[in-house]
Amino acid sequence: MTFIDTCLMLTFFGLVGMILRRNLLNISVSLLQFVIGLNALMGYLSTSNDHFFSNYWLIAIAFIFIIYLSSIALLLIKRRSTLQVNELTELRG
Amino acid sequence: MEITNAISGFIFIVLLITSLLTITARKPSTCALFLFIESVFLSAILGFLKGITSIAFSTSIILSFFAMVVCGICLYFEASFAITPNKIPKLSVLTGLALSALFFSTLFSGIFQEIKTHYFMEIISEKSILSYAIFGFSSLCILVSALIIFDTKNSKEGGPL
Repeated sequence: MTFIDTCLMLTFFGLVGMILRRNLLNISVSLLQFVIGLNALMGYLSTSNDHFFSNYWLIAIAFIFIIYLSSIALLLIKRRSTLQVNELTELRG
Repeated sequence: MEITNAISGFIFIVLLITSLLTITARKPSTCALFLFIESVFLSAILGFLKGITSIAFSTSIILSFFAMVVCGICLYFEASFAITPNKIPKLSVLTGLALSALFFSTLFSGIFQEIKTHYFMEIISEKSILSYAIFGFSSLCILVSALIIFDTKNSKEGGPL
């Protein structure tokens, strides 16, 4: 099992986690796992440090998505006044 | 050289275990903690393989901090709102097991090598295809999240939606 296979495994398990989990916080964790695997794959395959902008851009997108999911979770908790975040699953449509 | 292979094999096994625990743990903070351990080990092996001056190592370190931030966010939500962990549906578990079995069956066959070399690497190398689409959606995410955060902080009732 090479390093590329390991990165693909991390990416794939991130995608599976986004399908499998029903909680927005767990989905954000799986999204971050997907981005970590993809970033490691891109960084390992790049032969030089010249094309570094795409890696930082990927990190910025991940940061934006995590803030988005967290703010949606905060909004739904405040609006429903519930003790469970499990009802957030209906947001996924 | 044997020590190098032994360390790499150990880190691969740790990455496999932590990635499995990340998608199977019940509490979000536990998932984020396993993700943090995974990202630290991944940063270590990237620094080991590519050097500590490479861009892969630096971005992995940044993503490790992100994992720590997400762990803090999950701990805050769990402590503030008393979140009870939910049960994973059986259909989702079966879907995940089937996809994992498919992945590992294709990993050790020749089909995976062809897909990896001919298709996947070309998609990764062509990074500008999805750039504009993701940029547009991320701009929308920035606007919506900023609106929600400011409105939730300033009102007692809730958000604008």
